[in-house]
Amino acid sequence: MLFNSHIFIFLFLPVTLTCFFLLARLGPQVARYWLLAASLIFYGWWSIPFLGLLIAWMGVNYLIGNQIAKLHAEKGPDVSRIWAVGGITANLLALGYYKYATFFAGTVTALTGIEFAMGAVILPLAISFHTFQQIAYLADLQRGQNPKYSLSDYMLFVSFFPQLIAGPIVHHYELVPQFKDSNTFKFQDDRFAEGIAYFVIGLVKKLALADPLSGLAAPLFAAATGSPPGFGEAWFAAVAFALGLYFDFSAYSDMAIGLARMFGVRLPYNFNSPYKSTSIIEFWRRWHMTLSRFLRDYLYIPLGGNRKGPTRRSVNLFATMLLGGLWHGASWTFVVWGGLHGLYLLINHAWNGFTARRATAGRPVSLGPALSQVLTLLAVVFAWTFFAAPDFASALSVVEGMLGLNGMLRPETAELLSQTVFVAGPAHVMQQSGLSVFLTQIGKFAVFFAALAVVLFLPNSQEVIDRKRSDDDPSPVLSRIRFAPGVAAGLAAGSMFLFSLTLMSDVREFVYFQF
Amino acid sequence: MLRRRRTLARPTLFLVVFGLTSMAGLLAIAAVHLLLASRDVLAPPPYVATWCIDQKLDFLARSDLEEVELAAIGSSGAWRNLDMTVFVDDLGLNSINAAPCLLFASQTAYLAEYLLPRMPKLEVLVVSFLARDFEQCVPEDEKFFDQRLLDFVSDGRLPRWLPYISGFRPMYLANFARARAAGTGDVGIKIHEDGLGSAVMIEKFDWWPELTLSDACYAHVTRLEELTQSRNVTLVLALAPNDPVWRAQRDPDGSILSDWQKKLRASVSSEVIFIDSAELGFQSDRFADPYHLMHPNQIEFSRFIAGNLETLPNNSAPESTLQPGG
Repeated sequence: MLFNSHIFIFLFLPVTLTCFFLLARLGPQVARYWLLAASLIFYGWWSIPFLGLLIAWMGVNYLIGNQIAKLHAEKGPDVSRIWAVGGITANLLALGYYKYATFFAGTVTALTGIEFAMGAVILPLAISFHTFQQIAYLADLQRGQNPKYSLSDYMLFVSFFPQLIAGPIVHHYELVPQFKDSNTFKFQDDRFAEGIAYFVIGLVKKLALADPLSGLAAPLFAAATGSPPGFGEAWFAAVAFALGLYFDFSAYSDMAIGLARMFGVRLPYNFNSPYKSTSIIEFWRRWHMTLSRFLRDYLYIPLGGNRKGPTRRSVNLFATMLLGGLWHGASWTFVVWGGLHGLYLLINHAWNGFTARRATAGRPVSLGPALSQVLTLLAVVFAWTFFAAPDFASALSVVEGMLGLNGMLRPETAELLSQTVFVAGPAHVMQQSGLSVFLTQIGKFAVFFAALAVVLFLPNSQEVIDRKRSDDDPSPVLSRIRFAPGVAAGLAAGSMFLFSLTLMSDVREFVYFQF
Repeated sequence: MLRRRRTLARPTLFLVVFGLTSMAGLLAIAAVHLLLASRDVLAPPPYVATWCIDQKLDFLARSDLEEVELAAIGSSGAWRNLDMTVFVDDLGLNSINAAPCLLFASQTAYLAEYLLPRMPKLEVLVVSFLARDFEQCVPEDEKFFDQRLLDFVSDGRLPRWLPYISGFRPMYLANFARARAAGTGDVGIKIHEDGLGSAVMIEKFDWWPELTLSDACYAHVTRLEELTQSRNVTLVLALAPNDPVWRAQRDPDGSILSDWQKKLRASVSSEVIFIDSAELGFQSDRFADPYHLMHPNQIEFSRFIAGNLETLPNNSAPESTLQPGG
């Protein structure tokens, strides 16, 4: 079930919310059971067999967790470690089978010529996200935490439907205590209002920006090998993809945060205007923040982090980014994307070291915020080509275009542009293509520039709704856009919701569902 | 003692206003639909938001598909060129024209995949192709409607008005209503209906399409044969006629259309009944536009097909009229 589908908005959500608050009057435990049942229905809507797998997966992890906690308390961490390592390995193997078996078999076949008799493996929805949450849980128990959850508490932590499919990646200690808090089960108008505001903003971002942007970028990447893009088209496609991906995933995160808040639960933020970053290090503090946090706490630091000298830190950082890339998808293009970001981070750290030494020597050097932001954005957009392209050949074709190796524009684009601007004028082109086609194309470009403006100049959802302070508001006027519940905000949110309805006929999945 | 005025807290006010605005909007949308329906300018349920496909899907949802023995599919080549009463009268088969419009061959195969399991008594599937059905066949366009939604509406598990919510597109509704009221565009084309799903044009329509074909489509014709074979249904590929004047302009040496026919024949086995309407020798005055016959010429074309089908195991026409493909 998609957050942006009619069945979710008009049936699942109202029924789940109403029953939740009504059943809470009978006691929090009843409401918790209801929320768990609703979350399992939400997942089972996609596939009943895989719902069984999810339940089994949660059950096994719960039992392993209990064993770790018991052994840790009774015999110490050295004894419980074997269960922790075994449990985490089992999770990784299961994830590896479902997500990477075909990829690895294909790679081995490509390298050795050995064919594997292997059918296609269906990737269970949300597997990357809930596996990480469960691994984090086991690791925390091994680190000495002993929260003593019931099975239903644990299952609700993993399967709580707002965050189940594509995050934010939540820790058990962030979520379960909220389900134990009696305030969660009382209807609170302020939280509910914030939840609606988040949800509606996410809905509009997804339908009005992300979907049209993906329609702009996808055809260019898909046709990149057959019809190599010129400099203009390649950068246009890459920027459109960058914007589309951001709006798609941040829309999902906004909707998840909003839905959880309607139930009185606070989820962590996942995006904080990442394209306003002035360095790659900052970018990773602002982009998919809960994944960055997970990779830092459960991969980078256990690898040694920065505790074993600069060389080892660089190796750890690079390895973390490579694995982070692979997490996004079973393809070498994702590994290259992760590798590029690893490289960027190493360069960033080297630059930081250089500027620190220069500052110490009394000769400070700085690129300035504007140039830093532009450079960061260019590097990020360049790396997205490997994320967006369906294969290496397409990615390289777009990269060649970005480097100007395919000329400025494709011949047909150049001709269309010259006809429009210099020869016949827009009216003639409109006559040739037909009014609706012409207006549709104009509309797509309008969305592109509007999206760019939103990303660069407007405050983000949490700055608007939760009034989070931001240091990078470009304009004091725009920074005053704040959610103030009342008549005007209610009218605005209602109108935005109705506007979304006019765009909901073509329900498209969120990009991160495939991960 | 002063009486205090009770006011709603601001978040509550927000929720009330949000709820009322949303509710008012939804009621307004429903009212507009009712108004359009009362003026007979409401578009068919927007399964796809292309009226000529939606009207056919709506027709299929309301039809008893289980009793169908002969079905015609394809694009407007079938929808606008056949008279199904001919098949009922001449062959004694319970017939239906299930073809919408604007479908490429891949989409026709997708429609067949939907229909065949729902037509257990089907004996003959007539696919009336146009050359333009082979312009492009891309996987992302193939599944052009939601089969589950149509099923649920057909069997009454969902109400007929539900597609108006799930497929709500204000511009589509407005454009259809405007065209229907003004009698303009293809919505305004005057038609003769046979009551079994066909809609044949009764006046000339100014349209002069290009002719560019894609090789990606032929695999879907093979797929159609596999599908019919697996259900023991006779597949009839009936090439719809086209205007010789248009043909002379778009394909002066005839190479494009002859190449199309050759590839089409090569994509199926000799089990498939192949009918070439060129034998009818229809001249330009019989056409409403390059691809569609003017009423009542569809009757002659349908009789021509039915004549070829009389040699089926259950019929008794001479075998020599068959033109096997291969």
